[in-house]
Amino acid sequence: MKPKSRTLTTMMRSASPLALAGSIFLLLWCSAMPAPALEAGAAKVEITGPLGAPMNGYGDRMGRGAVAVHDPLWAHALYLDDGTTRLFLVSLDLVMINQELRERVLELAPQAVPKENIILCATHTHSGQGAMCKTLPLRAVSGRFMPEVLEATAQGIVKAMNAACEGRKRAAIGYGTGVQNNLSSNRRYPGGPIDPQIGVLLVTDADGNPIAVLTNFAAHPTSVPHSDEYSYSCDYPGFYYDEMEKVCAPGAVPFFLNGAEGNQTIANPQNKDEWERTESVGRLLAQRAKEIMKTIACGDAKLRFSAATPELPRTMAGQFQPRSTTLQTLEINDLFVAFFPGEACVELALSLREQALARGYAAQFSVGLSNDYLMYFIPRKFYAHVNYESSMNFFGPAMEDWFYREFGKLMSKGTPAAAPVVDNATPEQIEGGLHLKLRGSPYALGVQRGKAFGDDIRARYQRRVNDPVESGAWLPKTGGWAYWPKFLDARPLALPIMAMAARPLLEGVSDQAVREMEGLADGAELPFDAIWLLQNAGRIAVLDDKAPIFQSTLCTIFAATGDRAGADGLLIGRNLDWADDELPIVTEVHPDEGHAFVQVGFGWNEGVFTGMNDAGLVLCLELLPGPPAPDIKGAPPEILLRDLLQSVDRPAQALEALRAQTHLRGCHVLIAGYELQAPPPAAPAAKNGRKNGKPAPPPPLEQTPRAWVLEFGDQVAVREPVNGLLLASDPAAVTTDPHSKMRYARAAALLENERIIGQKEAKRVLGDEETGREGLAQIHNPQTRHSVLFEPKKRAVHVAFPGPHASGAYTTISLSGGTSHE
Amino acid sequence: MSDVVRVYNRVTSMGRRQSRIRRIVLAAAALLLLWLAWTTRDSQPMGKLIPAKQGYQVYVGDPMGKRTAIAQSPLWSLAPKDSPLAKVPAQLATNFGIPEWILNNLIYGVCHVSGNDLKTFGDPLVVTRMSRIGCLIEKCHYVVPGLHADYAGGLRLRALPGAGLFYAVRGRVLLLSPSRESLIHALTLAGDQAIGADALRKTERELGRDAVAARVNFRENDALGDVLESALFELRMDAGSLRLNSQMALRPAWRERLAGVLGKAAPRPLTLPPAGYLTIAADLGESIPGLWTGLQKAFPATFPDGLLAPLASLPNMNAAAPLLGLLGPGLRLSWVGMDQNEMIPVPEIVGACDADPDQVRALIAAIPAPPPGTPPWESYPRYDSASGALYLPLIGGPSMEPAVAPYGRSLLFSSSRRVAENLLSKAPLSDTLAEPGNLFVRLQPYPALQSLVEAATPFVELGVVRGKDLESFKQAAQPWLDAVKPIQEASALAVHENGSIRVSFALLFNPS
Repeated sequence: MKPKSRTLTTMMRSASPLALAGSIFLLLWCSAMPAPALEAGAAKVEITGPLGAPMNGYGDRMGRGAVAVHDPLWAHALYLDDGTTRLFLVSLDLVMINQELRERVLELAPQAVPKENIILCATHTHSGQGAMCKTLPLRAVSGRFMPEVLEATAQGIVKAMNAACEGRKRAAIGYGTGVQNNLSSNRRYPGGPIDPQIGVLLVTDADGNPIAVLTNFAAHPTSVPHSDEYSYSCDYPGFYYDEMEKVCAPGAVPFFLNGAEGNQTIANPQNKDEWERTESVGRLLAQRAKEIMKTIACGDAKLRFSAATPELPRTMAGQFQPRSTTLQTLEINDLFVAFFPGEACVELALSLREQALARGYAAQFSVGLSNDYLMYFIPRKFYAHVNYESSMNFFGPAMEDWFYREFGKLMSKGTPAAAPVVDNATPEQIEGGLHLKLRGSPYALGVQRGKAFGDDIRARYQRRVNDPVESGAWLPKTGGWAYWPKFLDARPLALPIMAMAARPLLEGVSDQAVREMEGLADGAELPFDAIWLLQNAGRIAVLDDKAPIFQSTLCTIFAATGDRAGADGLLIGRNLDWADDELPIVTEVHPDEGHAFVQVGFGWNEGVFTGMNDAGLVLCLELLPGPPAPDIKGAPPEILLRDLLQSVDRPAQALEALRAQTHLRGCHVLIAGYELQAPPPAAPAAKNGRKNGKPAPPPPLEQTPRAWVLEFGDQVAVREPVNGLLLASDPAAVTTDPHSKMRYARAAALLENERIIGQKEAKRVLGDEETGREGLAQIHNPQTRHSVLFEPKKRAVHVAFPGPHASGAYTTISLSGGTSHE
Repeated sequence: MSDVVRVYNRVTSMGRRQSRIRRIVLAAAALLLLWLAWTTRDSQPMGKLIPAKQGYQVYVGDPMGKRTAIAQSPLWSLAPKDSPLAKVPAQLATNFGIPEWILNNLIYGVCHVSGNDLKTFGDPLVVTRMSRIGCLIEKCHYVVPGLHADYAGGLRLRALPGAGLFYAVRGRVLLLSPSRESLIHALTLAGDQAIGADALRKTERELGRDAVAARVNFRENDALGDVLESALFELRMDAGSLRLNSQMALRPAWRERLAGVLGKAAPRPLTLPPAGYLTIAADLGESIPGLWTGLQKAFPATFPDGLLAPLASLPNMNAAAPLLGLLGPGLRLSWVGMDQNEMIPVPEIVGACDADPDQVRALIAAIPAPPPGTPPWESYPRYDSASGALYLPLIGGPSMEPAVAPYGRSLLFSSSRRVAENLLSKAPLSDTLAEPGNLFVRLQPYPALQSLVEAATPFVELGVVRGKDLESFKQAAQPWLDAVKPIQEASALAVHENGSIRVSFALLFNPS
């Protein structure tokens, strides 16, 4: 028997029968006592701003004042108290809840409810008053700051809260959901996803009369006709209120809670124009909500209110965006309601709902525009495509994961996903450089790299991106920027704009590479956009035609194939010449999925300029100086190469994949590896032979060495080896720049002199410093950052990090394991 | 033997000797006094030792008496904290390390500074009168270390090489200069080369002991010498104010060049502009278009022909153009302040220009109404018949909405509808400045600077002000605010008359 039971037995024995009976009675009485009754109250107060005050929602209003009231704006307040949790849920006919308004409302709010239990939501009507933002960037849309408008609005809201609290009564609550397929549409992509759910929360009094009806539906209230652009209006929620008040019992307060309306707009279910369209959606929504109400059985409920203030992902728009924000959730029995401070695209709400249902909730509502305004929350896949929604997000693609993770933590049911654990990776010293091994998920690979080279990455970001913007070197010399005064620092504005301009370069980048970049950013403690700008600083510099960063990206790359390469049939050599100083680094990447690979190059760039995977596929990239400039749209070549090394076995697959990248310009890629091919036909006897009466098994496929150079110019050209030799640039081609001509001509001469090109010969070529030539005209020159030999058959990479005037000693790294030195 | 009482004189031989010594001492003292009186006599009038044809001349009445007032003047708060100027009040308080009684006797009465070098001011000649005691102190110069005699052909100069100074004493007049040549020149002036005793006495009489006065005779290669022939300055300073009056004579070439601008300028009553941090009232006797033409003639490089061409392409300028022809000659302009709450902080400017009210009214009323159906927010001139004002909605709120309206006998214009409406709701301002003139400028530096700092703050918070965060910006702004805080207002009145420009500048300090 356990000690606890013994003690209990002893107690029971020692207790008097009367005391025992009393205790049992008390226990039974307590358990039979009803839960504290739910109390609720609801009220609405008009908060329409004064005529002449600026309106909020459209930048093109340019801060001009309202000229009319089409329909009044309201503050709807609901007070709920289940005996342990008391809260206010307030819906406002405004475009957003700005900090000044929230702070003032909390100052004035009734003491009946703890301030942290006040939920303020905006319906997001674009025809409500502005004038309440002191922050300068927000004034561009909300117009001048008018303290009197802020005060009057806050007073109106608090009046509604007080009235709701004072009018509280014994109540019951219930919820229901229904489906709509014709009230909203995706405004970004025709036929794109919508949120088909209409959620209704019904609060009734003891007699079953509605106190409040809260309808959750996702669509932008932006349907006020242009002719009434300067008239106050609730937009379609105004007609919803009107209709709902007609169909409900008198005294019931209809609320509208907008959902994940980021890329949602209202549809045109009755094919009407202008105000009639707005009205039709509002009234149909009310009618649909009324139908759902009929299905709701109200009763007592347990409220669970949660809030958190998590840190946001790092952002380059730190001057406009907070470091952390408030998320709130309300659980009513098995309903989970998430309140978030901005406009989420519908994909996030649908996914969050899926996660909530999987965690054991029966239903989930998303309510946006709550308590603050962080602009848009977008799915990670949208980050590369600059459209209105994605351009209003500066937190990087990881914002989507952040959204799920933080709400996941606030769910009381189920278990939140465990945060990824990332082991640190420490670089090992090799001859002349560092050797770093990364393992794990794409994110973990990035974090490990970011942590290992954090100081270097931050310093490079400072030098290559931040400094040229700060000095003005990267600012356009035309348009408004030309008049930018010297005493003003352009970075707070220019860097987020540049980051946005660089986002199309993410198009075509694999999800794995993006996640690795997110890890790299987190590891280096920089925003995602900063890392992405750093990866592409060279392209931006070239486009601006000012900063000469990376101008001299000349290389010497060659492959020997077939008999010229000896028994293995394939040997690749390359020198990478790079203008800027670089840490000498070899990174061995062992991802959870796909091929392991080695990349020689940079700590800050997850892309591959020189690499080989464990299938023996070698990819080497050479960026060409001068025009044609690389395109600013589509994945950068080094990132594509990184994806290919992880995902592709054979050189022909890589060739086809790269040929499809029509956006690439100004670069050459050498692809080498082994194709599996059937052996050449054998003698006729053997060919027809049967063994023991059975057909002979097909002969095993042979590994055939193949190599190509893909030249991305105005058109894509493919070259193959001639006499077993393949150079990344053709010295005879007119498009080849003079330095490359000299260097590649010298390499060709040296290589052609050798009958068989082995390690020794290849190393000699890579270390050649021809007498009489200087600088980039030499194969090995002061800008040579690494010399590499690949032996794909052995999965071996020989790397040397040369000094300014001498080739260093080679270190051999084998993808099948092991490192050795010369 | 008789019983006659014999009276004995107490004077003994010793006594007689003492009496003789006393007489000698007294005589010697008398002789010494005579010698002192003789050697410290005021034998040389200052006026004979001051060259008449100096480039500049500064007259300082009772410099030692002014020390306290000068040291206590809030003016010094304007000087940067680490600058030598900022140390002047402390140095004045400590008399530059020289005992006060010595200083009081060395500089006794008037001090005159003159020189010819208007570029580096390397040859100032300081001439002052000493008291007898000062004279005697100077006689003890041989005890001063580092002082050398400089015979100078019998002129008996004394040199202080460590200080780079030379000086000489004539009677009770002390002459001091860093330039030996200037000093020698002053000591060897012929009678007609000096300003003369009478002229100096007259100046003393006219200016009194409270003023600092200066005259500059410009040569053509001096700074401003191509513009001005001469300038007279008179500075008066006390704890509550600083006043500088000046009179400048233009060279004939510039009188001709500025004829289009100043040709009709004579002292005129100036109507006061609306209140503001910076206010300007001008009346040069010429209409605004005439003035513009004059400026273009005088400064063709600064005001080229096509300078206003871009304005012509602005919307509604064709309607506004006839208005411009009516304006002048009187012009008032005020920077009322900043509207910190606009979309971006904006200055609010208001002005009024003399104009025939009937013509203004007719012109404004003639501006066509917006085409039917034009929404009220469209940028189109809007005529408000109630106030007679014309408003042009642009972007933002009323502080960014320009307005024009008839205003008394002038045309009111403002960058801000709010300010215009405020003025139009009251009787037009018609008070004139006490003294006639052509240009009057008044600045209230503290509220002006404070509003600029406040306007810059949101930009600092946004991080776009280079090298400044909110904290460092406040730290940088505070010394400037502290520096101008003692100044209530700065004003200047300029009058042109017969090729001569008179400017009266005044700084009024807040009571401490």
